[in-house]
Amino acid sequence: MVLHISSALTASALHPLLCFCFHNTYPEMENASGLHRQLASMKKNLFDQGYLDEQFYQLEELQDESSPNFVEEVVTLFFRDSSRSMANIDEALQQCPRDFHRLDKFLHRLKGSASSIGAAKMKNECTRLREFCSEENLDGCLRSFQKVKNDHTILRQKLENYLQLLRQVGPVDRASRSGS
Amino acid sequence: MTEFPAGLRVLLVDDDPTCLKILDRMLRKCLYDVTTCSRAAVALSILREKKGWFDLVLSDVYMPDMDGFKLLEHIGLEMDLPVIMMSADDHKDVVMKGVTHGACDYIIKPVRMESLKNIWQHVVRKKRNELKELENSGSVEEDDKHKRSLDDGDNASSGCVGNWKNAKRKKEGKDEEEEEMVEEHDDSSNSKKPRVVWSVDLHQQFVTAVNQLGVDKAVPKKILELMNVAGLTRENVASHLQKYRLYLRRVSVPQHHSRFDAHFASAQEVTYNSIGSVSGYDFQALAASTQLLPQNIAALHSGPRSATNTGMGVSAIDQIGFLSSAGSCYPRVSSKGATPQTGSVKALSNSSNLKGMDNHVPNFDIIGEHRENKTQDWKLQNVNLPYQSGQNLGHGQSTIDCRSSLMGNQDSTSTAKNGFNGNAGTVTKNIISTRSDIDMEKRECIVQHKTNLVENCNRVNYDGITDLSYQDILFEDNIITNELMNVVRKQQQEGIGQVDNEFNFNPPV
Repeated sequence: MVLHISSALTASALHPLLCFCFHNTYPEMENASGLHRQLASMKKNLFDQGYLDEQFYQLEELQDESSPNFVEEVVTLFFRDSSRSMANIDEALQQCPRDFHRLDKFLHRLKGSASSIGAAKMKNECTRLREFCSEENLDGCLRSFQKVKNDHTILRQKLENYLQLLRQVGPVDRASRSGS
Repeated sequence: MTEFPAGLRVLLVDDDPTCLKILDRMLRKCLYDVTTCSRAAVALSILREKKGWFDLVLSDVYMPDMDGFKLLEHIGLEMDLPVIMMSADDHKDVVMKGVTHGACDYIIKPVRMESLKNIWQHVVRKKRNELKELENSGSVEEDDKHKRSLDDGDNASSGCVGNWKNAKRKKEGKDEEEEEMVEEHDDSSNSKKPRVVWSVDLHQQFVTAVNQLGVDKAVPKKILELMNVAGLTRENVASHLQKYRLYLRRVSVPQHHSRFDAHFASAQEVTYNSIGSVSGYDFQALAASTQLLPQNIAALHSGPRSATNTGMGVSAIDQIGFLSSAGSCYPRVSSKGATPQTGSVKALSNSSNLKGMDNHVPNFDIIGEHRENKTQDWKLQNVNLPYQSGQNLGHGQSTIDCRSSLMGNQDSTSTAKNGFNGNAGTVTKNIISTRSDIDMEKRECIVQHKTNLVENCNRVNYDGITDLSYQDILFEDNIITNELMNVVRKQQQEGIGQVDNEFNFNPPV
């Protein structure tokens, strides 16, 4: 079947569908190599669409026998922590009068976090948001922050799927996982 | 402990749990012994409790309870450990702040494994530097503790070891006028004696006194009396004198010596005087304008070296040269008043242009970000490299990897691919003549020490660049910097030839 994926959202929505179809149409593929390929293509997807950057590879490099679930742990930690950050930002944007200085601190932290796991889109949008913040452009901030929230949500979903698949595939050797 | 650097004891401080986890893992993968904490206050208490235990501190800049720079200061004050700062913030001024507060490196987040693999070099370098200081000052001690027990005057270590720490402790103070004396009473087990910061002014006084007495005949006691500086001890002077003598020996160049001196004697030569002051001024300005690597600063400093062994008025250049070469004692170079900078700048830049030792052309661009075009090098950089002894320091030798976060961005244009090998050397070469007996070793040591601020700086082999003290160059005045930049650029466009005479030691006018 041919799918024209026109937006990230569509892609992510369709992906599970794809997986489902894939599994049902080609049951014999539901084996290690098939999953690997899926995993690889998911990852490629994430990179191609700019959700992740090479910093993510760094995370994967850190996973090994002594720390077999490292990536998942970090990602989970990130989303937990960043959700809290974002709640703070939300609040800071609501309060009157706006304390842009304080807001900037939150943003800096969020940006640092995002960049540390390779969450490229989020990081970039955070940068823009910080610019608006420094200009004290509330409107710009609100719009930009909305984008950050969206990126956050989408990335979370995508990474959850990815990690889920990763778990299914089981201990995978680095080569096949990293290949994309 | 297994093979070094495995087991290196690192204290990691970062309030972001994600970053903390990642960094922790990275450091462990490097086989370092990691202790983490997410609060600066906690970090300090850990450091205090386990004094002497840690080798290195890796800290984030922005933390809720305490500014990373404050932490940096505390650590410098109390423990004298190498500290590496990290931040997602790559703004030049923040990086600069790291430099001036004495961080030995500044890593931009997101951090990659490669950045952490080599952090051990900062530990080694620091220890080496301290050892060298001890050796140079004549002390035989290799142990800080021993050093402490020596009360005697000729022990130079007290004056200078870890002086850069003092320098780093200095806030971005604007007190360029005052001599800077910092007495630090450290009650840690690594406690050192009170340290003196030999500012340009102070050194100038010292040199004046020495010249008055005659370099060969000067004794610390008399120098001290002449200088009449409160709080300065005979020990401080003694150690400084020792270094100074070493320096003079090193830079002495017989054939040009007298002419240069003669020239100096005239001392009214705006050029020379201003060179001196400009040197001090320049690099400050330069430093201000760019994330000037200490090496560069030093290089700038040492500019046209005067080789005066006699009691001739040692110009500021000399002093600065001395300051920059002598090792870690000269953190501060205060601007000595920007008098005829124009002339000197011209002199410097022109002379550097003149002496095109082509094989030495460094690609090193100090200004980095300020460069307007590739070819428009900050000519003053040609004045660097006091120790350029005509050897082609070429590519392999002094590759300073300016990917250093110090430069503020990972794709900095100011990469000193070839280190600053040579142009400065060119100038100095012409001015002073071949100095083939340069103490390469010392230089190397200093350089290495200096390149703390540069990632992978272990690749830099040479370059009589200053020592860490220059980290502390206060790069405040961007305005001055810009002006200076303009002046220099203008000079560059003008003909170069005027200075020629001056630098070729024609008899003074």
